[in-house]
Amino acid sequence: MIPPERIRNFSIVAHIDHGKSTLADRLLEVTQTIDKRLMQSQVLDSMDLEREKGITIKARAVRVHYDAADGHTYALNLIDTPGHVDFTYEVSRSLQACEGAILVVDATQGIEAQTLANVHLAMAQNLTIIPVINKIDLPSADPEMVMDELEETLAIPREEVILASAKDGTGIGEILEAIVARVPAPAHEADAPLAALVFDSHYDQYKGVVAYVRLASGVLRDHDRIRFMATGAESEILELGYFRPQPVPTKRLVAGEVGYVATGLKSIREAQVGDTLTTAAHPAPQPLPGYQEPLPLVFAGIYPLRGDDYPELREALDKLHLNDAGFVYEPESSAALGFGFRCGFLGLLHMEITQERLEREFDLDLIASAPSVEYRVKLHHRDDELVVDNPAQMPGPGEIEQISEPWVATQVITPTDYIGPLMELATTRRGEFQNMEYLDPKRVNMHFEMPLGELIIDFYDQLKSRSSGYASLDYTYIGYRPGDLVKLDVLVSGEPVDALSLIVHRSNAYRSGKALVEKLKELIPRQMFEVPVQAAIGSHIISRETIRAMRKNVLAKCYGGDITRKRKLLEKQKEGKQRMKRIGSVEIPQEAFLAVLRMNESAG
Amino acid sequence: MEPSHHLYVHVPFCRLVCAYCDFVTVGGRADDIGRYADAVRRELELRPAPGELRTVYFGGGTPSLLDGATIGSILDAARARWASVALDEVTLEANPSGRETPDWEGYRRAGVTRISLGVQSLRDEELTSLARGHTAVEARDAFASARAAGFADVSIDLIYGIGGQTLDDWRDGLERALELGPDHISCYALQLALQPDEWAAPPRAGALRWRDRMVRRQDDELAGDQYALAADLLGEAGYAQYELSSWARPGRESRHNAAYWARRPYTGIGAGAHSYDGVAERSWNERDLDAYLAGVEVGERPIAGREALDATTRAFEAVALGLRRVSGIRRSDIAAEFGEDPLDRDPAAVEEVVRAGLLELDGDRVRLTARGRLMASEVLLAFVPEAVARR
Ligand SMILES: Nc1nc2c(ncn2[C@@H]2O[C@H](COP(=O)(O)OP(=O)(O)O)[C@@H](O)[C@H]2O)c(=O)[nH]1
Ligand code: SF4
Ligand SMILES: [Mg+2]
Repeated sequence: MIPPERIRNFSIVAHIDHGKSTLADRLLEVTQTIDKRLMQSQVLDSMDLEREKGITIKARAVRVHYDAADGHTYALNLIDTPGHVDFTYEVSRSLQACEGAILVVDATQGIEAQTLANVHLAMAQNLTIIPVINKIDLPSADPEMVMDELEETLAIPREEVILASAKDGTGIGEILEAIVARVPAPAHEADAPLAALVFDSHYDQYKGVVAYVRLASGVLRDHDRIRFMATGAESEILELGYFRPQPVPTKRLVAGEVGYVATGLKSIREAQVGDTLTTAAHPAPQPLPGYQEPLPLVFAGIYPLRGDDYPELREALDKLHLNDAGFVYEPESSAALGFGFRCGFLGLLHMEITQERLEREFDLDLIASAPSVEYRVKLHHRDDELVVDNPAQMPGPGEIEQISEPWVATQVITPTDYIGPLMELATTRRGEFQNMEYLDPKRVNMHFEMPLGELIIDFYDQLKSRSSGYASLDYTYIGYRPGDLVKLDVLVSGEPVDALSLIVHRSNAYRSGKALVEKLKELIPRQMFEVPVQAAIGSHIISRETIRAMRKNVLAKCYGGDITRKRKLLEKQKEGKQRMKRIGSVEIPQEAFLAVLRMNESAG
Repeated sequence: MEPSHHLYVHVPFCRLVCAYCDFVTVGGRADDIGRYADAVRRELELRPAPGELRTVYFGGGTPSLLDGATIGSILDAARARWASVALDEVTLEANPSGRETPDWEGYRRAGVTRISLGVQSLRDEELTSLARGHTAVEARDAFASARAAGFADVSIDLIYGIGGQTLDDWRDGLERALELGPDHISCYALQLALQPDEWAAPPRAGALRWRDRMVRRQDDELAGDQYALAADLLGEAGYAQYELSSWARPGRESRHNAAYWARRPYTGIGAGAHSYDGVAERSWNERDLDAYLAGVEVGERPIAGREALDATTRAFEAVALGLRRVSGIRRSDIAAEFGEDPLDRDPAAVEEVVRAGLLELDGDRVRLTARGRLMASEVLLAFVPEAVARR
């Protein structure tokens, strides 16, 4: 067994695509944790989706044995962190399980928004930072420039920086030595009662909830009765072990070590990220600091494309919910879309990933409403606040005294060339400029505060397109603020289409309403009747278009008694009609809905 | 009295295959006409000949590519095949053409009583944009020759909804058509948007691009106005509309087509021809010319498909076909035959088409309104049985 002084717990932090996963692969390969021949690239990104999107969703921990230059063998625990803004809290819990962090910066890109966000999280945990400039094999690499940035913005001396290529292996040995030399061994109070930080968990069909833990103090034995201090859940350990990267069962884990605990618990909510694991027999006097309930920020209605799939959707959501503490849902129904669920997500990416998983893993075709945030609504003559996460449920303007919405602090890192366009983008999204700092003569970090509702509607795509892909974004929730918000309704033939309601700032209402109504006019096929399409705030119509009545739908010529063909064509038309959604007497094809909902995502 | 029976003979040959055509046609196979005529006579032998044969219709394609003797031989074969024959209408579709003059005299001698002339338009710019192989002058000449040969019953086909054809162009075309003084006029909307299904003509080189360009120039609104104008002008000129696309002088309605709307039994002979036993079976022949010929030549009816109609489907067909007639249907007739008032199937849907002004309920009578005629499919959707649509 490797003594605690020779354990090193560390993470890799990086902006997306700077090479975190590739570097992790190299480290595992060099330490022969996995055979090069058997290695699929990016072992740590276990889900297919992650591999395709190149995003790490679930943090995981792998133990590596490294024979260092000093002649000793070290146990290095690599704790992989999710790399996206939506998972900030999980990143911070993963970092809390470490003493060191490798900071990876792409030699061709330099510091980006999530580089800063992540390194600040690491510094807040007092971690030792090992700066690595990656991709120096690329011709466009400019390590000198990146070293300047690191020095300027993060006060990291250039002498500490390791130049590496995760692709060709340059610098990997140096990184391993730096981990051993610079990262402190974990404190190891083995005699104190057990306190282990849960930095990740997932649900396993056979073993129940599996918690990933870092032992801060005490010892965990394979048949202990355990307790999660925040939730109070208790169970017997089914299995104890660590990953290399496949699970290796063990008899015990001691303070300083990282491993997993199979609990047999039925819901991931009983063993949440950030909770403290202890033994039922000798519980720790107090939990480790920093636990938070996950906070869903983005909401959307998710409906089966075919009503018949509702039970399957419910089952799929149940399963996801078991495995994803940040995901919440409850049934809702919409006149336009039928029966479905209102779902809450940690952020936009989380929402996208969840939808994709539903469609792929569960083979469901879904229709999703435009994303929304949770509004707090103060009504006249009432003290309590109404919480509205579905625009359709917003009360009429007459009843409302005030609406508040969540705000976020954003940082946008961009080459100076794009300051103007990005400033404009942020301002049209009601962003309030705070300040701007130069990372180097050519790049700046701009700080804005803006409503989250504006950010989730296509802001990221716009940011990318207005900066030729160069700008990067990070945001954190800062709290609720009142706003001059209105509910925009869409009426088709006088009937409100609940799924298309939006909450917008009053100053944008006219523009959004007009765009919506024009798009609908284009997408709704002519009906037997003339169909007015309107946008309204309360009873006040702000935009109107008319879809003229259909004039012609006939199979005129009937040659040679070809009755069967004509009948079949009619049957097909009827089937098509039955797939349409009916709003009053107007039939709207699913595709039209999807197109408008997609547009809602972009036009706001 | 024997129940009436009807015979359709399909002649797939065309000199030029039109880009918009969705029928069973072949171009460049004129050399096979003789062989085909033999096959048609042979198929007649292979098919049962029930009831009393009342009408014969040579449709196409271009039946006027066959000479009078050939048509006569087919008619003789039919007369010989049926035990009971009382023909009161024998129609032949003819295309005007500067190249090969139809054998009008020969058709008369063979026993053809009615000519349906594929005029399509009497305006050269429209004929050009349809890429028809004839001119307006040739169309007039053909009409005159048919009359000169003694045909008292001549129908012409006209096409509206052609991209670029204005309302005035259409009016002008109609007026020119009326000057000819036909006995019967069919007006068809140029229909390019049929779903590709198992019956669709396979796409021909060049046709798809032509269709694409044409579709973009079409305008349903204008086509609607053109249709309404046709109804006005033809009505004033003494032609009564009796079906969605057909107008006739008194007594000159097509009896053969009327048999289709009335769900009378008919035998379809030739490539791609459809047959109906008058009760519960529809069937159709191989549409591919070679497959058709090969089949008949080994002594079998080259049947490509058949379907058994259940009562629900038959009741729907009764409504669908009946509503094509301007006189519409009688609820009591349908109820008597199928035990169900057609309006009861989906009352809400029916109410909607009535409210939209497309369908008219007049006591026992149910008929399309003038506006509803151009929206017949939309109306019929209200009657398509649920179960069928889900199948
Ligand atoms: N040329 C080069 N490409 C690299 C290097 N490291 C990673 N990449 C590539 O950069 C992209 C992003 O790498 P990945 O490890 O997925 O980044 P992550 O998002 O930080 O996990 C992938 O296409 C890698 O193949 C490197 O050192 N050199
Ligand atoms: S002439 Fe008539 S049947 Fe022949 S291709 Fe043209 S439209 Fe079709
Ligand atoms: Mg990755």
